Amino acid sequence: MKRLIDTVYHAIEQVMRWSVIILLILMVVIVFANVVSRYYLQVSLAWSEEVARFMLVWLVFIGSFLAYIHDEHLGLDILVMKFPPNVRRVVAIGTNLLVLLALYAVMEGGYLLMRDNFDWLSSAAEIPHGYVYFIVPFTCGLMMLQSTLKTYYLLTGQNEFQEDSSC
Amino acid sequence: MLSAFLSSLFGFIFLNIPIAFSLILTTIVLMVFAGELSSANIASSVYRGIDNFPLMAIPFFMLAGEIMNVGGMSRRIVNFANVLVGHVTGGLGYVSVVASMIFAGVSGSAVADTSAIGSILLPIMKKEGYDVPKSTALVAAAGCIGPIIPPSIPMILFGVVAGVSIVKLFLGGIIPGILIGIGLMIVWYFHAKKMGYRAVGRRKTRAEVLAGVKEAGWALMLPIIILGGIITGIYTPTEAAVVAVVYAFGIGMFVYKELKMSHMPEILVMAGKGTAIVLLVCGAATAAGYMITTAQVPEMLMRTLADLAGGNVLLAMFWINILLLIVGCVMDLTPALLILAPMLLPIAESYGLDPVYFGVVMCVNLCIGLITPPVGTVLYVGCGLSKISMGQITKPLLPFIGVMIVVLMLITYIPGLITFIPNLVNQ
Repeated sequence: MKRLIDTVYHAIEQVMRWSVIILLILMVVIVFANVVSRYYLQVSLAWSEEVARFMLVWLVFIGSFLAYIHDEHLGLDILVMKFPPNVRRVVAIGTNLLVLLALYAVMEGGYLLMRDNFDWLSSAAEIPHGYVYFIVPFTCGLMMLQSTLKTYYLLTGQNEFQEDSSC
Repeated sequence: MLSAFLSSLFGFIFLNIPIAFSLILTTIVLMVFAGELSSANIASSVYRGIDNFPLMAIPFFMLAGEIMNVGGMSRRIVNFANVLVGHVTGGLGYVSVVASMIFAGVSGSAVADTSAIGSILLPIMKKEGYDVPKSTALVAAAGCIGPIIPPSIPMILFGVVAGVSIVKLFLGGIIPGILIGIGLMIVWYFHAKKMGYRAVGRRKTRAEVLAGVKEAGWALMLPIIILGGIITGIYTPTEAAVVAVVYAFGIGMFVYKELKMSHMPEILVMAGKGTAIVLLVCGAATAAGYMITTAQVPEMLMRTLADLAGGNVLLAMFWINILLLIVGCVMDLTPALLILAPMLLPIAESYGLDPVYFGVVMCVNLCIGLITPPVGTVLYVGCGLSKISMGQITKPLLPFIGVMIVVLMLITYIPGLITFIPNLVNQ
């Protein structure tokens, strides 16, 4: 069961990694093309700023998912590290549930935004905002999955609890 | 309301809930208190905090820094600094400061600066018999110049959340950054003399200096392109950042030929994840910021400060600096800046302070927090590079932190040190 989940997760991670790579390359190309065309051809690409901004939003949400699966988000572990291991485990289960709540709020809100904004076209590139918002519930849903898995593993003790990694 | 805000925010953070999620949870708590819980409002404020063109400079500057490291530009900058100051007693110490200052002209992040310079210089310093914790402390402190000398990721964030000109903030950081560099070198001078470090090599001849300049020329052009372009107003910081990416890529790929296509996926993922980590906090802080304002937290802070400082600007800045230094000890630069800037800026403005001045003071102050234990991202990087513990580095750090606080006081009480260059360019 764990093997299967790991395989599926690994595949999702790979897709997300490549999405980040492609998005970032496209952002560089689009913004740089605009610089060149503005200064050398005196033509500003009206859609470029808007499209690049939408890509930034996608990049941030996908990148947040990648950072979340490797526990790389900024946090403060100085207090928790002082707790004995079993207390830390209980705290970790509790905080995972709180993170689930936060993610649920953003996911639900993101879903509502997406649902209500398919008719609202962006001003320059005329992309429906609903498609841009799609990434919010999508990645929050993935992160919820991840945090459910983490909680499950903590409850069943399937993975050894992470030891402190301070230097 | 204030107590609900403070206890929930710090409660969540100290339980090791990632700060971005702590901010969202705090927003939920405040919304419940105010009886206006709306998930759509939370999601749209998070989105709004990210959907911002100037913020695009952040992934680009991160990318440029990574490409410079892998593409051999960082190494050439270190070599160049070595040609300049390597021959004096304890020379490698000065090399690390000078190289950090040059690298700061491209990178906007202290972590990038420290790992770029430290990974090259710390092994050499160790081999030369330098005191390892002291050298690590110096490299970490010098790395903090990264976000003070422009470009600067924290200043971009401050500019966006506070609605202040990013270019002016950048320019305001130049003199403080140079002052910190000089201060660190003075502290190092006394240490090197006490330890009797021998000089590595002799003074370079003019021909060798020229050869060094030529070797590093392409890399040294980059800070000039970025700063020159921003100062003259040829392009915006975001455009400068994308130009830096393309330039660094071209040089690394086709001139130095050290950058391989196979390096790119890892570099891009690193920059993408780094951006996401910073900007998710930015989005979450935007959501929380709205509720913080509704809860009138800034007004309460203002009253507290009025009790402490009265109408005295100097005293008010003193207390603000103390508050920021304390917060900086336990919190990372990005969240501290994003949470506190919207609260403190109205206070600064009520005292008639220039937002550019205030922003630079705030960034410099919180940069010191990057190397103050117990929590300091740059400290972790330095310790990781030298494989020493936090306990070992704390004492050697104190004189460097001390000199940075002296510079902080100088720029706080002589605002001209910050505003001189921005005002000069403005006219």
